[in-house]
Amino acid sequence: MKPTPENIAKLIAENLLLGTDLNASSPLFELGLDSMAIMQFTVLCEDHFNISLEPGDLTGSNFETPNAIAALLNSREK
Amino acid sequence: MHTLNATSSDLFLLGLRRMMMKNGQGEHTGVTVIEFNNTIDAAALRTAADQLLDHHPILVAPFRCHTFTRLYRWIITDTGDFQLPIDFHHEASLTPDHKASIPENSIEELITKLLGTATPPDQPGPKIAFHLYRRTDGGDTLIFSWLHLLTDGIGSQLLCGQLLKLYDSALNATPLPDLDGLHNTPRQPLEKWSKRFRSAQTAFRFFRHNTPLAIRSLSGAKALAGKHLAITKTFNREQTQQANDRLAQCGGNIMLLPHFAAVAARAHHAVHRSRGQNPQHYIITVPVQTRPRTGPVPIFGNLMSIYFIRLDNDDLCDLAKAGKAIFKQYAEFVRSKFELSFIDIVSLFRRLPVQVFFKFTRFHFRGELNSFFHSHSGEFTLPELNSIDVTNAYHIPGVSSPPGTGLFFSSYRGTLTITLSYLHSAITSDEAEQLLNHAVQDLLGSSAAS
Repeated sequence: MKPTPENIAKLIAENLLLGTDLNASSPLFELGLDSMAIMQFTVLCEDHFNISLEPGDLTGSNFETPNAIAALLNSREK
Repeated sequence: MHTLNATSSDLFLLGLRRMMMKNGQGEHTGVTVIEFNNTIDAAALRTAADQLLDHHPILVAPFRCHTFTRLYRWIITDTGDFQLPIDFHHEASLTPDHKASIPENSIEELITKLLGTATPPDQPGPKIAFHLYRRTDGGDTLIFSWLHLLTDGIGSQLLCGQLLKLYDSALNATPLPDLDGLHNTPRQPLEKWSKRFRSAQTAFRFFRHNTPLAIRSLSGAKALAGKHLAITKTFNREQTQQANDRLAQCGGNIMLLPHFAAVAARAHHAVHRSRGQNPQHYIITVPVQTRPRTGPVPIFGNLMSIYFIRLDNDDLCDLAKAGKAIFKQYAEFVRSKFELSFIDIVSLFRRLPVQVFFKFTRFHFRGELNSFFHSHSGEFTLPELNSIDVTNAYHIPGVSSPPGTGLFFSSYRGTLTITLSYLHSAITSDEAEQLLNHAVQDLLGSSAAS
């Protein structure tokens, strides 16, 4: 699966922020994303996108919105 | 009458409480400290506390084991004549406003008296108490002491938030706030025994293969009687930013668990080394919240599981290296859903006497429980209210012996607070200062930390 903002939003809504309606620019921290959820996301990321994230990738700015996460993952893919 | 079943985490804490009481360590309690820029109106606080009790009669309920099912639960009936206690204190140099106010040498001494003291859980009566402390700068500090069986740090924070909303409403004679239904959420029914048994295998395998048996806490494996003590340090904004920069240097600025657990381990190791001890392994038990992130969130009960983080002597030489070692394990725990597996292990034992599974843990670690207690409880959130100006808020959890010490972190509006909680029989006051100072220097990136 390609890491698009829409796929990422769907993945987060179905697994981490259950019941929330997310779009590409949803403010994830305001909606409840915490550090544990981000760690869970790194596992989902390996399983769904075959991309491994390093500790240094896990910054506030990289996880602000699905758009930001998509930009991070696409930069890791290359 | 209705009941609220114990969680798996409650059962573990019940075992801990039993060990503490048996060995002269008092009740297992926590203290939450909220500092105000202004003074608190005593009458409005009384009204708020009464309304909080009306809303949550569990606050005076007994916690008992059912004779036949052997399941522990809170037995919630009407509140009768009980009131939540509010005591008044002031720094000894001040002339108090309240005639029943008790002079204290310091807020630290007051907190020392409160830790380890509570109504026994199996008796009806208040399981929380409020203490209002007037400081020399003219502001008040509210100290909220709570029985740890009743709730955890997050639950305590939610309860404080509700109290402040009720206080605001009482002070300004506004309608009672909607407390968001955050109370007594019924427990989710347990999965079938067979499913829990299968899930528990992850944690069983972990204990068989991954944990070293020889760990050493600062109090040692023998449970020691002792007085509870605590020291705290709150960073100013500049220091907090410096600590955040250091966190980012070591790897990401939002993964708190690996970094702060590493800081705590290195600080403990420094004290061990100063004693001439050199523990080869550390096991850090880190609580992991199991409350849902969205939707109704329960207040009462300990809603957490545990990760058993291992650090070896070689990992401790460098903060970034220790943090990376923990990060790797954290990812594995998350991938294997260890937190759910551990809860399922405890649930399998729930009808047995609590000392049974507690003995299992202490047998596994040769009398120890872990190397020390630790948590970072994240941002302490409170409602924004016009009538109050909160300048800081943090928890001080009581600890048991073993292990004798716990290093805890939390933040409030851009300032970090570090709390060292310990038993006086576990470490000396000099060692406590050394431990805290090492953590501070490590957080700030000072070369003074080895």
